[in-house]
Amino acid sequence: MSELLTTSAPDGAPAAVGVVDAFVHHQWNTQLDFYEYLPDGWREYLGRPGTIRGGRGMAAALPKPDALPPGGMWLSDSGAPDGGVPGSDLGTLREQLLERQGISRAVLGFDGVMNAPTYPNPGYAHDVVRAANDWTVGEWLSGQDDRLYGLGLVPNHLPELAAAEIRRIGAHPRIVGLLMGGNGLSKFFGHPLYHPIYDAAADMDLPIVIHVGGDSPPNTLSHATAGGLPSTFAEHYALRAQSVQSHLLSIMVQGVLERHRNLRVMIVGAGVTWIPGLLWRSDSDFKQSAPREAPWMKRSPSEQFLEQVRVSTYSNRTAPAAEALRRCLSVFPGIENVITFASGYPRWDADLAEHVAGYFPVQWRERVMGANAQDFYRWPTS
Amino acid sequence: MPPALDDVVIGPESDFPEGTHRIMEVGGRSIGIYRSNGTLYAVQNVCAHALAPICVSPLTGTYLPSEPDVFTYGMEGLVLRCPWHTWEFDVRDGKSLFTGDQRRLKTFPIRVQDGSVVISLRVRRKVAVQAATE
Repeated sequence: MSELLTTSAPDGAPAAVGVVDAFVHHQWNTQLDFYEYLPDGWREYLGRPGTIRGGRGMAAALPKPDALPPGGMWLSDSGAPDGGVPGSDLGTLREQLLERQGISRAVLGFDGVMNAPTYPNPGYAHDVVRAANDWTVGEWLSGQDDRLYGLGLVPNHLPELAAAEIRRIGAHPRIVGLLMGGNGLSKFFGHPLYHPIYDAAADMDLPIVIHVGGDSPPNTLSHATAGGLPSTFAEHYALRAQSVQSHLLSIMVQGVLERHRNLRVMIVGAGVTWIPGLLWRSDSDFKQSAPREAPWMKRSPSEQFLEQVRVSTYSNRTAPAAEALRRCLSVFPGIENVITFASGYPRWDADLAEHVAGYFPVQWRERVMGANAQDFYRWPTS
Repeated sequence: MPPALDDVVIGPESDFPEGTHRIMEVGGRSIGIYRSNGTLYAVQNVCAHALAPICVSPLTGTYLPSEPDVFTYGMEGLVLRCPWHTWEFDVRDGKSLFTGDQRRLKTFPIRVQDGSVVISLRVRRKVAVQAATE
């Protein structure tokens, strides 16, 4: 793996940054694993298995997953040795991801837990998110492996309380960013309602990560796709970049990035091929109407994007062949500073680091595979 | 040295009262003549974006650059807004009001001299003769 990076150094010197995985889907094996982090009341509310006949007695803590791929949600060989669900076992993750792919730093960003903010009861959603954050710190970021870091999930249902949670969990040195997962308020993420969230993030120097799928859970009033709900997973998957484009454009046009010039945003899960179309179109439309509708826009969408937005390679399987991808992206000079490797492990559509690196020009690889994530997240200083 | 401009008299000052605008053929060009806040402006009737006849629009104001969530109306009588795609320009110098866009409208010096309104521009000769005999 190191060859992928050293070949990109202009003078042949070893690269300063190893491979950084900007997003990994970790999760608990069973919700009992995070019970100890939940308030007593919610623990009793959910119940325990076996308290009624047939092993039943526990309600699901999380919203149901969105559209499922036909072969299942995760890589078929990524389960824990004891039969645990993929992404729940440190040893398996360490062997399959960190060791086998030569990852020097990996950022844990939750799997289905990320949709907890969409639970209809906002107080419950807040407390589950808070417990999930504590569970990440307690079970993954407390000396288990120095290569692991995490995102703080944002309970965006209640922006003021979310800001308080950002300041609380964000104080932990291994929390390097924040995750806007499930769309609890069913509004675009640039809406002024969310100002307290971005104010807190900027104060804490914590970047925002937006992962696809947050508009899919059944309790959101928003939809992951425009025009209706797809009948097949293939349609759902092909169209998944729609909602994150909506959130990103909203953030840029509503002035979030003007209010906070130090705030950084990363889009995860939609690949990268949607970028030129969105920027071309929005730059043009910005000239038409922004002076009246958003007079605070002092930079075009593409200018804001190139300065403050990063996009993960995951899932790179939607990319065309390498040369076509390079030509597609190169229309915006500096795009090599935007594209950021993320494996998405252990989701079914996860990418191998080596495979992703081969898609990008040698001159881009140090940026894409490590340096961009290194510059993006708030890493501990010591 | 750029070629010298020609002075073309387009009418008595009384033909251009405050708050009005007219489109005239002057020196072979279609030009919008505006009088706003006591000042005369002359703008070529071609939008710098998509060549629309922009001078069919009156002068307006617009929202000024601001902090997020703040709307501050200003530049009253100084903004020319295209009827096709609503691009906005500063009538004083023709510059686009969109940050970073270099396209601008063509403007001409205009003044009142001895009771007449005079535009300075490079006359397209062949057509200028026609205009002069009208």
